[in-house]
Amino acid sequence: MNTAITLILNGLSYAAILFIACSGFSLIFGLMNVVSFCHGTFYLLSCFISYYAFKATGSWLIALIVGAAGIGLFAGIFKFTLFDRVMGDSDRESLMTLGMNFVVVDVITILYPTDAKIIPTPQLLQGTFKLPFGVKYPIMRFAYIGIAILIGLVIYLLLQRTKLGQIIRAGVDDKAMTSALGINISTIFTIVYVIGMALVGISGALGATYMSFRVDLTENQMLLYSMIIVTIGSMESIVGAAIGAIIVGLLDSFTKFYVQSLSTTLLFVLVVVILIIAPRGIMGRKSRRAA
Amino acid sequence: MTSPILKVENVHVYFGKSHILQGASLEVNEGMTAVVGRNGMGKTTLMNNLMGLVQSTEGKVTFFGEDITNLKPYQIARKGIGYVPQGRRVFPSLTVEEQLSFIYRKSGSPDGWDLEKVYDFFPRLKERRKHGGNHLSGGEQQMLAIGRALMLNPKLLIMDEPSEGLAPIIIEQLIEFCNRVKETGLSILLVEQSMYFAMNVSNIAHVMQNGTFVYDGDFKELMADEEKAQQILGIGS
Repeated sequence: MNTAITLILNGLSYAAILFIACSGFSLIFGLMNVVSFCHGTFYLLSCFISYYAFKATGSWLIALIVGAAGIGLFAGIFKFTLFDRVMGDSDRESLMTLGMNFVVVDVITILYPTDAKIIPTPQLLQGTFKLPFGVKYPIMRFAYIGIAILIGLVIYLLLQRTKLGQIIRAGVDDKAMTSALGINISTIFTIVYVIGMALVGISGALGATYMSFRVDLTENQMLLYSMIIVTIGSMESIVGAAIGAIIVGLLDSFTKFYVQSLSTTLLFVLVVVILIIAPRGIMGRKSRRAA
Repeated sequence: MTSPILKVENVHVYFGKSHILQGASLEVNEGMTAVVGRNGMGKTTLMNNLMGLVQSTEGKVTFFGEDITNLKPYQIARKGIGYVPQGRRVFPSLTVEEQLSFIYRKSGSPDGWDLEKVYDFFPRLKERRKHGGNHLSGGEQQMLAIGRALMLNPKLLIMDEPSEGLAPIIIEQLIEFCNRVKETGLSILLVEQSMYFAMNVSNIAHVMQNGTFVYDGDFKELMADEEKAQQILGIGS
């Protein structure tokens, strides 16, 4: 029983990190139809930035802020200088983000040795909670679940209650029509891209405190999981990203404990099953444009 | 004679190798301008080009004398063109009130359009204001698409096939709405396949055939000339 509880909590706290990373991914995909192949790499970059920010300042909070702002800024510059030149042409978009992926990974590999690193848990969040059935679980990981719920709520309110959110939803529904009603959709893209990537920055800082990270492993796993999550959850829904993240988090936690060697295989079996039942993802709509 | 609101001169549009618009020229003056023609003659492509949704390779479009050829859609909308697209294209994820509000552009004059005036004009939309765009009937969607364009306080309304897929009784309502919009002094460029609809709102017809205009003149005169109507509209009257 306590193994099961621990595994569930492990799955949910990992899902928290995945959700934060994927909320950005699904916003960007939903609005821009861009599959960002450098998603995992930006996550890894955030791990490094926040790690060194922590080493320099000793403050976990500063590391988190530097990670988020750093990736948001970096992504903004990337979009403005490079990505805007190819936007709208999906082949070139994919090549551009894939290329960015290689460049960033190589630069990191040259600059830093490839040993695994981890940011230590901040003092305030050290220690464990005592739960029923004699389970002890780190406070830090509960904090992750809390942060993910908070971020999810903020995104939900942004989308549902603000004018920017209305514009984003309209853009996801029908980009050309939104533009024909006087909205400069490419400015909205830039805003969403920077917000989405800042979220990846946050998840990178959290992820680097949760488990060790290293080049050539972390970014590939994050890209793979992000794609699986938005595929099974729905490409254009934040609730879908949450559901997808919980499923992948739990499956990852249980399979890695019981059948380590089949972990990735089972994940893809699940993807296939879900896509057979709901081709557009669990929260997907039947068609992008209702008649 | 005042200068036209919108002037289209010799516009050419290609989709790949197919030459869709082959030198279309049109003048839109105050009041109602109706563009008619059979299916696939380039009417919607012309409207898409006017809105900046497809690019022309040749030709010029001016709006109140200002060159708007191949501007981006949002720039054209901001110049004062309200677009009611074919198929209505309401946003399924937004409520009626949301999609009327988020694009609102204030008018300079006190009798400009706002949410309240659009609701007065289409009381049905007020009843349905909390409903999502995907929970509306075809007629309601059409009202929303028109109301949405009016919220931009445009100088010209472009309506592409508003009667498409609507029940006859709704079409009658739509004719009435069009005539009421006309009374407010707003000019309309209408594209229609339904001769019945077009004739009930406009006296002048511009007929498109194979990507160019083949008739600009009196609607009734055209319909009286059976042979000509048959030839360019594919209908016997």
